Amino acid sequence: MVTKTLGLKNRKILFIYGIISVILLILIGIPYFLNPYLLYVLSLTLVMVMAVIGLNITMGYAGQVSLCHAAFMGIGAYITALLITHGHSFWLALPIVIVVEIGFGIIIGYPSLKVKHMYLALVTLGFGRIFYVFVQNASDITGGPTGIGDITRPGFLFIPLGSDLRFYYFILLFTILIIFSAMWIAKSRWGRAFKSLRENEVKAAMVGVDIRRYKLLSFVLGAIYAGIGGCFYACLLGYIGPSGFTDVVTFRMIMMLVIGGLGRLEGAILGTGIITILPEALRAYEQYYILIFALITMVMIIFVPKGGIWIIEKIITKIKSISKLGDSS
Amino acid sequence: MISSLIQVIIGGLAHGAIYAIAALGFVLLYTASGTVNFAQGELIMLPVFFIYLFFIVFELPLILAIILTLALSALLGLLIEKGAIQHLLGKPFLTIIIVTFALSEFIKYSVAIAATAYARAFPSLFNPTPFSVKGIILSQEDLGVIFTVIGVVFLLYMFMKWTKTGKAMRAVAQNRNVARIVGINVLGIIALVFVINGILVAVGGILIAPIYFVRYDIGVMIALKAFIAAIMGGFNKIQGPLVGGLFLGVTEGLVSTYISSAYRDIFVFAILIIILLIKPEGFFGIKEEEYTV
Amino acid sequence: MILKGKNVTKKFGDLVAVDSLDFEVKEGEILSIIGPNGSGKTTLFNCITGIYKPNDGEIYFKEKNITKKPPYLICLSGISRTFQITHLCPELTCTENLLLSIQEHKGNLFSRLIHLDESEERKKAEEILSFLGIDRLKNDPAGSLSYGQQKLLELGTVLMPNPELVLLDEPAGGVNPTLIKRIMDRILQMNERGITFVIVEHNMDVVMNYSHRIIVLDHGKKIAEGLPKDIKENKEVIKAYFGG
Repeated sequence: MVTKTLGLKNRKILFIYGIISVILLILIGIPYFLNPYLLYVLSLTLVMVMAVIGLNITMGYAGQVSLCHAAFMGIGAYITALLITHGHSFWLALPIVIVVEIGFGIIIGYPSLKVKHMYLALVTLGFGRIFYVFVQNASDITGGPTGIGDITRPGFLFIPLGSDLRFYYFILLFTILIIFSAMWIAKSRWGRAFKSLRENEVKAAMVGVDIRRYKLLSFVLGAIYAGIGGCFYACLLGYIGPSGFTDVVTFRMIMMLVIGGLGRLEGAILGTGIITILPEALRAYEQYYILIFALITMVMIIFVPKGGIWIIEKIITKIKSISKLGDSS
Repeated sequence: MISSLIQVIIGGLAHGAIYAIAALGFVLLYTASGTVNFAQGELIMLPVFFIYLFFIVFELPLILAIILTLALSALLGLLIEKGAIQHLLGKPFLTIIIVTFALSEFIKYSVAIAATAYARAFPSLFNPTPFSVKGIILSQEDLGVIFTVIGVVFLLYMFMKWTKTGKAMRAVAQNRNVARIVGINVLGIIALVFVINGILVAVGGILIAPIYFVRYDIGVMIALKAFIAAIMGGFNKIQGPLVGGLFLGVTEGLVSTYISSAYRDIFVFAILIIILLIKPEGFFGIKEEEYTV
Repeated sequence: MILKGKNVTKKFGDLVAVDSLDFEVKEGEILSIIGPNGSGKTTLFNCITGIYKPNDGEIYFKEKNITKKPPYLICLSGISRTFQITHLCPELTCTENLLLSIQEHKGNLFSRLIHLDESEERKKAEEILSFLGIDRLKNDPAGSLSYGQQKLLELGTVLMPNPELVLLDEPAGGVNPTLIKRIMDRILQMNERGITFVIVEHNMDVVMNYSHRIIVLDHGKKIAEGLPKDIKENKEVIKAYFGG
């Protein structure tokens, strides 16, 4: 009766809030039931969600090809690792990473103003490679193939966050903040401008959208989110190496986005969850899962381009219409 | 010293020849079907395994092993065209990149599971004894690679210039829609190009087997170099990827020897990015009148 | 003169699409540009709106030189245009397409992030959608509209930012006569409110009945200019359309 009086639109909002609340409760309560390894997997998933949300802005909303997203994450991770192992605070690293990512976002985004599609794909791929070769070889700075270790976790206002449990909640809090910020961007005029880039660039230009600026912006935002993810990644693992930021990792993030739903925030979260948690939860050989996910990615992007989120929504609509039929009879 | 410089250049040409043949296949595919084949590296890696299988494991005579490798690779190209590429024609570019990228990962890890990460060795098909000409030491391997690739490319060039099918291929590359209207079986041509690509990468694979070992991940860097070569040379006709590949190989060799071996890739990519920003259509490419927004 | 072009030339390799063209558009008029296919009409539009950069010549909008400016700046100066094939953002709703057309005209980059309130713009969007008769489609994705509805929506996106000059590329193309009348009546209404229109059209009924003035192009050159009744009898024009 309550839902009837609120009207149809409010009912949908109530439903969504309901689901979100349930998910939140689960995320808050579940650590107590998980062993340390699974808690680590969950923490890692949240960290990857941060990065993939960034990829969703660049590739999902604005439609720009970005095959170096792992490198953006790596920049954040390495800067954080270096600062922390030299005695500085995580809270100093975070703003520095954001500024540096803005810079790199502009540098990498600049070619997107000149070249498109395949050429852009190669430039971004190239940048990812440059980053990898650099951290692999500049042993003095980056520790080379062995990377950087002994990264201690930060504290917050004199509350130590070193324990896995506390750090998990810390990550959860930031992930929620990041999700909110991404929702804000999507709803704002920025979000609409990004989408217009993807939908019809010529039309967008003809209605006054500064294409160059928004393209750069999409790369910058993507880089910032990936960088923040990188900061948390470094502290979560305690050690980082070049192998964590290869083009394979970039591709894995693309898979997460495509399987969840390219261009949808919920899709980014869903896809990341599936690809990170599923293999761990089912304890199968990782290599088989890559095969399966690669196959699913291929099939999905062709036949179900709107992704897993779309499938779920269709199922919910189907269930609703069936239950409505039940009601009327 | 001049002689060591020439040695470096010849070595570079040999590597470059491989990039060239991979780039050529890549460019042919793109101009004929509009699809970017990000799985090209894996299509080179597979024939390496094929030749290993036929020649080393099954101990077949070399000629037979080579023929089987070429045939199997050509068949694979056809399968990929029918299975994946046909669905991609006309789809947005992001989709094509993602699918072929996913395909490359799929192939790579299938092989990784089947063959493990163990790197197997493959003997050189040429006489390993180096010989010297006027003080310059040349390896028969390098020369063999260069001349084989040039020979194959020449054959392809002849095919495309003089045969009816070859001319149809050129028509499709120029303008698919017009070719269709004129009555050319465009889909058939696209399938043919995939078969040709299969043969080209098989030749490349057989040539690189001794150099790169037999392992699931050798396709990755070659593919990247092939793409770079294609862009440097331009997506135009056959000269583009050929010159692009050779240029890339020589540049790589020079940078690696005289500047730095570890950071070689960084220099190469930096050159690529510069070329892309200054002359994106490459050495031989035609500048498309792109609308500006 | 709200729009002026001097010696505008655009080549594609050896093909000269627009050939040393001089033209003027008077403020408040409805000017039609006609000519056989390939005479350079759309290319001219593209040069005016910055999608192509002319090889030679200059274009002035309200006395300001807009020749080398990027499309978005030209739009923000007060020129809107439609395309032969409707250009819309298919996944965005009709309302969102309209909101897109106006959002870049106000504020700056950061205000566009911070301020989420668009109630004023939404009201205007609804007004325009009713004006065009498609307000019941306001929440439908633009891609799901019929061809005629899309043409109306595109017209809406053009009107949303209160432009001073509107370029229409074949507004009557592929549209049934009833809808054509509806579109042209709206255009007349907007013209009465002060908007200048330049229309490229093949439909001679539309051109003759609704234009104040006509320019005729052939092979990128202006071969005739004047009032509709004069153009109808012009021998050069007839020759260009039907051959010598």
